[in-house]
Amino acid sequence: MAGTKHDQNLASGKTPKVVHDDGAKGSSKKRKAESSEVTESSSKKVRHRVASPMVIIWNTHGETDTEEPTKKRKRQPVETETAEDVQPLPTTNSVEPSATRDEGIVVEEEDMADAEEEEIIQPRTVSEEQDGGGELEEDVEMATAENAVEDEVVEPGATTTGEVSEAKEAERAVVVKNGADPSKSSTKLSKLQRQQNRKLELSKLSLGEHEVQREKAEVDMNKAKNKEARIEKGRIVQERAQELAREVKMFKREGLAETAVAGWHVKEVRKQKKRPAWSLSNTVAGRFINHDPIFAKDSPTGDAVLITATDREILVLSVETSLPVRTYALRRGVSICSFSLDNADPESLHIVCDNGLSFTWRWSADGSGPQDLEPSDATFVAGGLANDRGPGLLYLKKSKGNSAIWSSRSLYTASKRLDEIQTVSDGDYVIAYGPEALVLGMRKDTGKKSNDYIWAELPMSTAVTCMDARVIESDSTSKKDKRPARISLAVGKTDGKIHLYDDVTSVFADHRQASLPTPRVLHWHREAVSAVKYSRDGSYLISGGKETVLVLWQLNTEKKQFLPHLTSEIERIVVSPEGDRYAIQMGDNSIMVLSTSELKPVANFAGLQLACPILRSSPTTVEYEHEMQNSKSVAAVLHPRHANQLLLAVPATQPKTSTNAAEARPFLQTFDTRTSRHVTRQALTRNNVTDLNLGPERTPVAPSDTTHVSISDDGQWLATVDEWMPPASDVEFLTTSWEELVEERRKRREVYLKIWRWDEAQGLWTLSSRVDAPHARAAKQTQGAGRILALVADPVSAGFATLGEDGRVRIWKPKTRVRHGVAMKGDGDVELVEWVCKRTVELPLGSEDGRADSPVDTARDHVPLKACLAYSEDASLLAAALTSAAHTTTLVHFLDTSSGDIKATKSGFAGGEHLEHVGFLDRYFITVVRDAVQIWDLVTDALQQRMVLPSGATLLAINSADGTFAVAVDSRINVYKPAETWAVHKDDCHQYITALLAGNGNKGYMLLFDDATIRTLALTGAPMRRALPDAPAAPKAPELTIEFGPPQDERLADDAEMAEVLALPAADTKASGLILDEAEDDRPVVRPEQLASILDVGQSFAMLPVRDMFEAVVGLYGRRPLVHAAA
Amino acid sequence: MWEPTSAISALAFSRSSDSGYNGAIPTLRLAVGRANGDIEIWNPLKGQWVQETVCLGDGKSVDGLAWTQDPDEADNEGNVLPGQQRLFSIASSPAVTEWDLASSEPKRRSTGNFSEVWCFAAQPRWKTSKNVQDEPRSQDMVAGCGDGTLVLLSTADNDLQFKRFLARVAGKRARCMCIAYQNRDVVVAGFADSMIRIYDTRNNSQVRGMSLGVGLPGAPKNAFIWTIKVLPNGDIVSGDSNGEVRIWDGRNHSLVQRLTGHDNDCLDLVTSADGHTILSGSIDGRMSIYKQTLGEGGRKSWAKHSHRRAHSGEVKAMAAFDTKNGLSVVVSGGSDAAPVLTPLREYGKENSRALSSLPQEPKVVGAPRARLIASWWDKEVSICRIARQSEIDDVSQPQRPRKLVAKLSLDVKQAIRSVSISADGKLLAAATASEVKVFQLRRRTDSDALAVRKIHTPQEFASLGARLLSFSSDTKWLAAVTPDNEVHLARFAANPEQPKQLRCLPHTVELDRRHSKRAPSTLHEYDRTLVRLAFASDSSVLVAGDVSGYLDSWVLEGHEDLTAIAVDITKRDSDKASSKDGSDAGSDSSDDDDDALVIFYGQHWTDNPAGHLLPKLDSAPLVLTFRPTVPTAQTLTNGNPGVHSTRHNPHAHSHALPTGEHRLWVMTARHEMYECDVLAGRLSDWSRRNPTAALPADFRQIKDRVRDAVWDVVGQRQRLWLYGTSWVVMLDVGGDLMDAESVALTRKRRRKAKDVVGDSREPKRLKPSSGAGDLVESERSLGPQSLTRTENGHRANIDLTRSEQNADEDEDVEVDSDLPALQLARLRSNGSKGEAARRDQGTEGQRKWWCTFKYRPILGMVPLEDATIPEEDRMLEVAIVERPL
Repeated sequence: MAGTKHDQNLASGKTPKVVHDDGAKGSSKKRKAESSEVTESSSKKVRHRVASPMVIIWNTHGETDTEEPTKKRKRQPVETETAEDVQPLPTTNSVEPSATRDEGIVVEEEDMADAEEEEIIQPRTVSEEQDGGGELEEDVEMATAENAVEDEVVEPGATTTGEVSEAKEAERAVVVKNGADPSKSSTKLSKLQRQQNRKLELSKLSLGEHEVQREKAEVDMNKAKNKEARIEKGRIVQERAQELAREVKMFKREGLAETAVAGWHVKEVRKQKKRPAWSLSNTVAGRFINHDPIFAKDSPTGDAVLITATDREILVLSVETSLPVRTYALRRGVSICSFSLDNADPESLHIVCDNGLSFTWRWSADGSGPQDLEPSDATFVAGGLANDRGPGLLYLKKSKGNSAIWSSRSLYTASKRLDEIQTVSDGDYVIAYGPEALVLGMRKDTGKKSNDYIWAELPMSTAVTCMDARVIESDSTSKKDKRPARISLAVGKTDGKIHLYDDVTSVFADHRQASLPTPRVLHWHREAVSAVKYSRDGSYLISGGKETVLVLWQLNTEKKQFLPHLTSEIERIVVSPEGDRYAIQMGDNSIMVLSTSELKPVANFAGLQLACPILRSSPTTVEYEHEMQNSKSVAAVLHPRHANQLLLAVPATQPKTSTNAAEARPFLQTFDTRTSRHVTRQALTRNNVTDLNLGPERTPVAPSDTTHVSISDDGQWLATVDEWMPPASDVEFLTTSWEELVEERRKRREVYLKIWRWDEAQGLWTLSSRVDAPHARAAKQTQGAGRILALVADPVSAGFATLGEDGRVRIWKPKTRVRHGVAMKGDGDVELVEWVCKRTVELPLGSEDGRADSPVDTARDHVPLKACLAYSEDASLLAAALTSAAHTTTLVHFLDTSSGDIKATKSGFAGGEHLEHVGFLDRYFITVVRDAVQIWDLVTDALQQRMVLPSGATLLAINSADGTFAVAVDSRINVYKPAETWAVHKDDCHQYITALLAGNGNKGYMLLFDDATIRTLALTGAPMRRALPDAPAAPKAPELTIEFGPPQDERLADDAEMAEVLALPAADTKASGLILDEAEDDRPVVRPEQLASILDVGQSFAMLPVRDMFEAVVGLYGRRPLVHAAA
Repeated sequence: MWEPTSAISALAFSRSSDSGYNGAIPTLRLAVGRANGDIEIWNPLKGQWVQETVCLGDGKSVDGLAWTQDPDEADNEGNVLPGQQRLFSIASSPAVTEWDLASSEPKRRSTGNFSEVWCFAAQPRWKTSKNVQDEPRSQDMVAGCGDGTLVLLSTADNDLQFKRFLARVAGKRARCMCIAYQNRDVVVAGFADSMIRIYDTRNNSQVRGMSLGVGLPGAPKNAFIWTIKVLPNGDIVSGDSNGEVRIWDGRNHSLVQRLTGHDNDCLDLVTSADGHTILSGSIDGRMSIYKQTLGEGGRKSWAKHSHRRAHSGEVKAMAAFDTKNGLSVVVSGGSDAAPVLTPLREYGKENSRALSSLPQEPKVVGAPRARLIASWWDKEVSICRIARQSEIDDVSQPQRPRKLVAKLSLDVKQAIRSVSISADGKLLAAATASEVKVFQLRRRTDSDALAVRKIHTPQEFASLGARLLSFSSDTKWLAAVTPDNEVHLARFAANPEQPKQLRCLPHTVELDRRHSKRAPSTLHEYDRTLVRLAFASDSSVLVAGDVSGYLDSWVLEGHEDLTAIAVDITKRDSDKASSKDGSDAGSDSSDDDDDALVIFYGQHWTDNPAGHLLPKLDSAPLVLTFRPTVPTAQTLTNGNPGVHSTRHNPHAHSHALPTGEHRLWVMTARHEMYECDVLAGRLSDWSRRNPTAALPADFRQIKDRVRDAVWDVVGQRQRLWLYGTSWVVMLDVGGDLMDAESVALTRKRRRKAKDVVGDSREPKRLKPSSGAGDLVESERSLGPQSLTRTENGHRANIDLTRSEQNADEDEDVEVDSDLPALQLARLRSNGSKGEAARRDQGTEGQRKWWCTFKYRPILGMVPLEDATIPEEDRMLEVAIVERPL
């Protein structure tokens, strides 16, 4: 029997491939299906389950005409279930043993894969598909009848009710029909399928967001259903249906989007059907929200995971591998406020969003969608309210100036704002805090699970920043004590003190007796305590703050232990339930997991450390403002050799709440955009992150700010520009006016051009040369260093060009250091190179436009506001333009890079506007002014195109590989081809774009958003990519290998895939034609470790998408020889 | 001039708690030992802290203080008489000194064949046990010596005797640093060799030795055990030179816990009465508080709660008094000389407060008419003259207005206890505990300096010694209170041979004090210690007040008759009456001073006939001063008409009482204000109209006690200037401080409040307090001070700062402060607030009171007069002596 089923499955899997010639997706799905089939064929009870989805597919391809009878049959069970839909879901869940559930997931995926396939292959309406499900029941066997039933229930929103009755129904049916079959498994099966189908629906819905048509169809379907229901059923059903419709609408409106995996794949496949098109990828990276991560156990594997969230994504991170296991992404524009595990069911996660919606996500199951969607308007959620009614959750709802604590009803309305809430001892005590108040609640009768609480609100004189509560079980021998539990409370304050209350239960005493003992004071932190937690046994207190020191307070002896010199300030501390790990969320957007015993890092999840957007409100002169703004533009660059590596200057720490702190960026982060993983971080300038960073007047010591980053074409050289000015408070005493203050600060400005060499052995950029004050100040001012306004890298050889405020262009080139005619060698036979300024070209000032201002004014007006610098693709020409207040017409100078002569000087590019960006693309010269982009043909020396842009901050990126360029204006991005008169692609990301980088080759463009997320805009579906086999979906069932051992087919498939991949590079490189020009046999030697680092990720769910994997492999084989590149 | 107060080196409360006494609760005093050997006795007065007396030492630092109480005795009627409280001290010598508090002198010393005593402790008080009918036993004392010897001393039979050696510890570092009784039989001693040894006094055996172990890295190997205390449950607490506080199990002597409380030496520690709180003080001035908490599974553990810097120097000594409902305070002292009060029960909720380090009794006296200021220190008296205002203004060169005009170094054995200078600056008297010396001051003709001439005083007067001296305003009388609290008077008159010289008449008189029936006190005679002395402005009335608040008053009978013989000694009238029938028999007794009546120039001192009517004050008087009256009585050449010596009445003398009003203005240690008509023996009308409640609220909130008062009486202006260490207050006592309506209102409310409270006879206090400072203001408080309690939707605000036991007293406060009518009345009457004040601005002199905190710390304020200015134009002129710390 197993064999035949298998065959059927294979057949069903293959069919689409044959029919639609749509290999990539289908084959992977097929493999998956096969493997799961094989793994499960060993167990008898599984067989039935496996059988059913296959049959669905089988039948789907078959008839479609038996709709009516099926429906009628379906109705009946629905009626019964609605009658007793009071039974909550968790009850049924809890009786399931987890092992069978695990198996269930396999089926689920398989089913989903098939379903997707089905959808893709035969774009039919949903109702048809459902009918297919219905038919199955007719055709095959009784056990699947339940599936049909569930297919009916599948509609979004009809989620948790009626499960038990169905299950019972199913059980009965199975017993009747199959007799000997273990009925349990079949009930499980039915339920699982129900879930799968629901998920399927949800994924469809999410799809609908992208495709309005489809969505509409669904809604129509639902409406039709409702109508039908109204006719056929009673009032209860009617209400139920209305509810359904409402939820669907809401669902649609709020747009809780795809589960990342399912959504992605469907989209991919869909795209392949169409012609190549520009598309925005999914979002990667992002900032962790200011919320305690949750330690949990991943039920399939038993691995420790950490659940946390970025603004738009819930992440389940594996502590073992430091990789994300599962993610669940929300639609853009909706951000996650809070999340909490359900106490009764630790596998479901309650999530609260800022649009007032809350829902539940079964985080332990792959690809599961949202459940229990409901509006809550909450800002914070906490589980752990043992309750016989409702979900046992506590919410905080904010209104004007105060907050309310909600469960199923409003429990308490505080007079002040509350930020977070915590329950202890099964909800016998509830503790919430805000900056100004602490609210304690005690359940009146601890025995009964009622929601009657006594509340005590304590006003706080110094603002509370963090809090942790702990229950102390007192001695059981003392029977006199009526209330055995005591609550001890640690409260962190803004003044750096931690107040420790040994027992706060005394506040609940009667009016006369109510008291609060004076707290213990632990004072080590200089500044506000940002996190405080008790250790599991209560003998330690762990706290952290801006000092970048983790403090462990030994509560019994007053001794302190320190873990100093963490890379960034501590924002959150979480202790694992076993007490063996600490998770520390830090200000550099990373979470580190430490082992408790040795304080050694176990895992590190570092996000993109892009500086937070700064809201500036201080009144400054326009010019100064401009200067500041300029320096705050994102300094980021993509590595030319490792296309996924993003190098960007990052601040030491990013305050999540206060955005006004002008943060300098002394660090360089290397971030892998493909895997969304942090690679390295190193300091570029002096900084006082882990030191005492206060001056003698208690003012913070300002670090230098890296304003520009550029990387040479071979990836060997990195140029950075950092500048520093003394803080205004340091020179204030010298000055009387704002202008003088600015001038005094400028006189003391320090600017360094640093050139770094990549040290392969250490994996670090090592400083090769430092140029102090590479440019002079504008208008012949002698004091202080001039700012560097632009830095570009030579696109062909090692070299950089800078344009300073003094109006000079300097071209920097490496020079081998020679002593006695012999090149000096450093460590490892590397030739010592020093960087020298090879050319200095002074740009002629434009005409004064007849202005006769006073000399002082002129001097100030000459300070350039904006500079543009660009190399032509062959590096023979350098375009430079300076804009200053004195000149209304901007001159663009074209320099010969070899001679340094100004070949040509042209005006009119800007058309009276300030030139914002320039760039070369092929023979075109692209200029971006305030509200337009212009393409000039350099050969004909004529304006080719002028395209109007919406006003806003513009960004320009030029991708010479595919001959396009992109212009971003605020949140919109347009892609142009010089030859075409319209934008090739237009997109609105609904998010402020802070940086636009051109990807190498056909990567398109990389967009950095101000919420530290990255998306790529790329041409997908290009013919050259079609040959690629698709990878199994990233978070695919790990149990494949773990539970049953690797099945034969799986291994074969893997091997085949490997072979394919390995075979490919040759062809690809040929096609790209990059290396083959060099005939000598200096092809790169690819070591097995390097390959292993790409392919052997450890667990299959962590594996990269095949496309990325392919590129990584190609990158290894196709990279340019080092020696050659350096020359 | 006056030297700064020296550092505090020892502190002891006369008892540590109210609990444990089945009979009367003994009086509470605080003994403060200083580095110069002085011992100050402070009265906590339920949080109002006043320095009562000072026992001058011999310069050796007081290293330890201990109080004992003799066993209670039953008198014939079966009443239990509480045993006497006795104070002992040690001072870097092999002696233990007992102090006679009544005379402020050492009573006896116990010495023996042992080296200097480093520490000592008193045995816990004997408690009657139900089973054993034992004779009450006195408290022993154990002293730890520098050579490692432990000595037992007995205080039985009101004596102090060497009992026996308890132990001798050999070794180089065997110095006993601290010692404590664990119970009546077991002694715990800490040594310099980082050992704690436990001895049983019953069999002189060492029970156990506990070592601190190796010190912290970097610290010396040997830790000093600076202090050791025993908790009520028998557990031992030690503080050592590593800054650690260790808790040892009292039964099996194992180390229970070590707490790192300080970065450097922990010098002293105290425990609360319930044994759940420990405070330790360290050499860097920090005080840490530790509390016992229930940990996991109900296990009790100690944890440091917080610390704060209490002293600018080190914390040398600490003492705690802790009762459930009343005071609960820790007193600490160190090199900054000021005792600091830290709340114990209400730690973190009440502020700590530093008491003044300046003596309560001003050490500055002045002669207003001669513009002289005299102050004294040790054995020296300095006299300065203050230039006139006009003189200062005239001189173009700015110069200091004061000029040292004389410096007297007395040839005495002890330190000067009191100095008085007559108002005209002609006489100056100085007294030690055993001598009284009087000098005549005359301005030299050639220079500003004074010529000082010693005046011979009768031997019996000169050798009395005195604790208080006071010249009458007409310079004729010098009143001296001896250490034994007798009042003696000497009469000064011009020398007939050399009219410019003054002489002391060869006889002095002792005035009898009234023996009123007093409640039995555990301090016995100390309660009769006279602390203030005042002459009426016409010198005809003398009043003395003692520690317990009784006033003794005497009047000068007769009129001055310069023609009469200077000193006429006769028998007392009563004696004469009784011996009328046998005059011969009693004639030879006339030499006896006690029975003799000494008449000076026709005048003699006798008991005030209305003296017994004078009220007992609620507490010791701090200010005793007569309201100045315009002198009306003219000195008659023959002042006593109708009094003629006859044969039967050879010593005829007038019995005419002084006429006129003699209104005594009193302010007590509780800042209660009274004015008595001394001759009438009743409160004056003004006082009836102006009870203490009429004092402005600003004044009543002042915690510093009043030092002294200066009158400003010119014409209709009658103002009283009061001052304390940090404040100067003017009260217009010519009129009423508050109108009658509001006073009545106040009184009524008070009475009502009293009814509510019950029979509480306590004067109302503004604030319930555990004895230290006010409540911490909410911004600085450690915890929240109130909470909102919500139950079933019902909200209630609960004040957390108040503990329930103080609730009763609170009601007074509420009544007092919440009364709008009263506030309105205050507004109407006082001159500083609201519209009333503005209305009063126009008319000068309408101001009823005024308060300033501009000067601090004030050592003394003396009035000055400028004779060149006509009296009507005189404004009050005072010299304020500040003592910068």
